[in-house]
Amino acid sequence: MRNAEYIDEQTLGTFVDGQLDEANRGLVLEAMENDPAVRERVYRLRRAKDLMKLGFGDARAPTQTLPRLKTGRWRLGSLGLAASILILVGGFVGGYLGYSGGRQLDHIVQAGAPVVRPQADRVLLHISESDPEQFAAVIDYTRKFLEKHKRSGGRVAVVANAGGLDLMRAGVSPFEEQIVAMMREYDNVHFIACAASIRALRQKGVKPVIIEKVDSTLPAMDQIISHVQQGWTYVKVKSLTNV
Amino acid sequence: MIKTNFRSTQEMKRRIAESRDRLFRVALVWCGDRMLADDLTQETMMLGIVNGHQLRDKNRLMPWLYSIMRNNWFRHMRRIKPQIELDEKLPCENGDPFCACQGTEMIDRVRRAVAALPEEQRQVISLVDLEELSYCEVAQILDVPIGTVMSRLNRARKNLLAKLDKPAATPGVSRNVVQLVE
Repeated sequence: MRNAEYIDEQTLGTFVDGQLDEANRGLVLEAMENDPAVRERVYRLRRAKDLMKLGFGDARAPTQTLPRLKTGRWRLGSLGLAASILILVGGFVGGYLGYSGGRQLDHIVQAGAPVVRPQADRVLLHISESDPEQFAAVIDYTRKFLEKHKRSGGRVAVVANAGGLDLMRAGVSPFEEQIVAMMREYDNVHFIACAASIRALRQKGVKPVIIEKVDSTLPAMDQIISHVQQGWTYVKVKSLTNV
Repeated sequence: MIKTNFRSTQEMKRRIAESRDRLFRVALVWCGDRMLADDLTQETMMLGIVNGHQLRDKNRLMPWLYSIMRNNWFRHMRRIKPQIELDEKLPCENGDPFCACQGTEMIDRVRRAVAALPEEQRQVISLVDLEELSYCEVAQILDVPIGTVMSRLNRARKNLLAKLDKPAATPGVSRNVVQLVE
């Protein structure tokens, strides 16, 4: 008979997890057979596993009914995490204006490698942080893109969620006038405010007023997936301070 | 060109979509907050879809997605000190506060106990005990040696049980039920 103390906790844990090799599994089983203390220790470890499953096993994503890829209503996270593409604000505008024939954008997109080959004349900018520097870069980029593609049919969309939503909020956005003017002047620009972020703000007691004619019908995730699947070039805007 | 061994891009997307709840459960353990967990889940799914070409073996989809999630979560924590707290309204989230509170008191206790565990212990215990991943897979996801996985897991279980073995502050009556009566 083995001494219960001889079998360390880690070995018993490995046994409980079904990852112990056959020889040692036999030893543990033998010890359990002969020693109530070992049985008790194994029971406690199994209880820990069971408690984890009890505590979290039934948890469902809040938007459980919405995981469809093309028409679903995914919402992009508010984490402001680096997505597939990183644009440094400092070199942002210059970088874009310097591209020729889509080469630079193609290079940028390599990191993300979307399923559909991205098209340089259809750009989706995504902003998720309330950062005036990033706001300015987005507006500057968008304005210059529109001027450049005035006759070529290029299209640009700006999707804002989480803190980035401030860019689209009437009375809050430092670029409200510019956004309104661009929407009035150009048909090939689309400003999008994340419906899920708006809802989240409302749940916190904030009543965000979105700039008139900004699209706020769908969550940002839905918009991004939809655009990427259609070949839009996805660009996550981040500032140098977040790198 | 997609280089995974999924039959098609659509299959890969479908599998990622189907992983949503699994990702969310682990994210909930890591974040301790449902909204943040949902955000982390969706960010992970989106990056999974966009970077699907990087996955060589479809049987490793879940560990691969957890690796993405881990990177996202670490990046997030580097920038913003996480607020590990459970949603106070969690037990009543199904719209029937009375029934929900009665039925989820133990769940609530477990979640609070898990939330109080150190970050690295929460990560390991979620991947092993919830997701039933092997130590080897967890080691790869978290980029730590297998021995570290095992020792963290051991400590996590020990700490979890110690917290739960303590009697509840108001045995038999949850705080939310008290509020309801008031």
